[in-house]
Amino acid sequence: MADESSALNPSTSRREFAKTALAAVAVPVLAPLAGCVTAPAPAPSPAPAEAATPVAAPAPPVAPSAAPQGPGQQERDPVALHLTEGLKAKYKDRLTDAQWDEVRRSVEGNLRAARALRSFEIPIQTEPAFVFRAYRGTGR
Amino acid sequence: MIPAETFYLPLPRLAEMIRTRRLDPVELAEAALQRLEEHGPRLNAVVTVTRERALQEARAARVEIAAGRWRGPLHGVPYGAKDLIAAAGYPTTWGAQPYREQRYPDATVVAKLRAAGAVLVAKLASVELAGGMGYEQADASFTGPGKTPWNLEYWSGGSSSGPGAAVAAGLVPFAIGSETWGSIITPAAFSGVTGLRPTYGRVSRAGAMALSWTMDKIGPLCRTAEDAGLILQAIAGPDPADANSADRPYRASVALPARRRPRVGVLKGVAEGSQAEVKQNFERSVEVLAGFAEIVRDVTLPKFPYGSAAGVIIDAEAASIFEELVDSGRVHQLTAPEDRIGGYAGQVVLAKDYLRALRIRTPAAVAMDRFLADGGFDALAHPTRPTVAYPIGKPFNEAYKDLAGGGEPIGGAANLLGLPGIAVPNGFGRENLPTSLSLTGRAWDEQLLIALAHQYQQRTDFHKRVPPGFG
Repeated sequence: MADESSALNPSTSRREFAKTALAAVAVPVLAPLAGCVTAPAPAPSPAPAEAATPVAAPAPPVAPSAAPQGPGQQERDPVALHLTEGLKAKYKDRLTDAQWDEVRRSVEGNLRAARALRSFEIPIQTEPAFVFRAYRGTGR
Repeated sequence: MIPAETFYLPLPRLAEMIRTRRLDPVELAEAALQRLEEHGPRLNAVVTVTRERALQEARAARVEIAAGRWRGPLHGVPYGAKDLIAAAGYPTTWGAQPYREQRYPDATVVAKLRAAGAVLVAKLASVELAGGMGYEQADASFTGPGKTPWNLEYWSGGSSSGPGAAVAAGLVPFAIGSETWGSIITPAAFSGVTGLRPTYGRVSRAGAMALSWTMDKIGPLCRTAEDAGLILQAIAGPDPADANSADRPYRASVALPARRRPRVGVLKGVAEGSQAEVKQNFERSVEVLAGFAEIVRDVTLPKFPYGSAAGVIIDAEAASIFEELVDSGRVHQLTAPEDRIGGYAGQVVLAKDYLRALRIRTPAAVAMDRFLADGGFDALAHPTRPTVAYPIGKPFNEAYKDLAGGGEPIGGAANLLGLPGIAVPNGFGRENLPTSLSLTGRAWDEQLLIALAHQYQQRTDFHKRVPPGFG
């Protein structure tokens, strides 16, 4: 069950979050702009990660409180890498390498948020909270 | 000549002066237009002054009121609308360069206010695309960074930056803003005004820019909690143009429940990571609340990944909404450099992750409602923001590095689950900038929140303070 309490709560920006997360050890640090969840340090912690999300109002800032990670913990998420490569293939040279790196970190944040959701158990019967109604107009 | 203090009057008093013809709607509109033109540029609060429409609506109000046809407490009262809410006859820019020329018919909320006799005097500034591209500093709109009238070196909050600043500076008696995640209550806090986030579905979103179809809310920024109720009464209700609008009209009242003492929960550790002044003001606010409500401390929310779910939902929905903007490359016309690249990552949010977030929403909503109902809570109290306004010219994450953060994730929970909230000024902090108290309640309990906030404002005067130079 994911817990987004206290230290996991405040955040700076989605990109800054990603940067900090990569530079962090055991202590959960910055969340994304959304100010939502936190990501615990990547491995070996099994805890859910924080979301890197856009929001309307910025999340409360917090000071980075973690020490830098060791090199082994700075490995890039291969799924994020591949998703970013897909974007690159589509949008080619629209962004600089540094900007693509920012995008990749945002994608990593999204994937962390998704892991936090998956770590929260829900019954298989639970349907999404959307509404669709079959439509029939008034004519014959 | 209408004095500046008129713009700081609560709506019932303003309405009474208009109804009894001691205040002329046309003169009031002209005074508002003058204040908007004089102070608006200093605050970066105004996109468009709607002079022609304002005078037309004000003249109509004058004629009707003179004929004894007073429509109610908003009749003849000037207001501004965040510029992601459409108003016929003027551009609706969404605060974003790529959309500066677009025009639409009146949004439902504008049409409802027109029907109530309110006078639209301005389209007010917004963070570009309501912050949907992930802005990281205040200068994220083609109108420039919104400035709080309390100190022009600091931000008025976002994304409803213009509504916050304009109400605080007395340019308009009230304004309409929108919130997907924090965009009404944050500018209310940073600008020192009252802001109401209605329950999702209470107010039609038709004609307003969509950032997240399932999370966007529209609500007022104004002087008092009572004002917020009067405005909500005018704008709430079902709308065929918004399938998610509910058949839940609102009847304004500041009455507390009869025959029982209200019960307010204080979230555990919620002020722990806040600035010292924020924490101190919050504790004083709780003492004030204790004067008329039972206080239950150290309340903890049901455990759900609220923030992650809300984040994934906004990311996925915004990615679909702004796919063309990103695809065409026009996203690079946005003001904030980070916003120019902020839309790409959303394009690869996985469908299963979005659906997972939507699946978590219902059990979370049920658990939260049970928690509030079983606990007998009329509201949960918390600081609206852990800090005062951010300085302009610095990235948000560099503004207050001395904070540790903390507390229950009420912001993400309330917005994910569509719960109402009200923010009211509760003191001042660093640089004499305002701080704010929030009350969050069960779905459709706006009346209760407004009544509690009204009681708080009956016992305090922070909502009556006027920023230096604007009185």
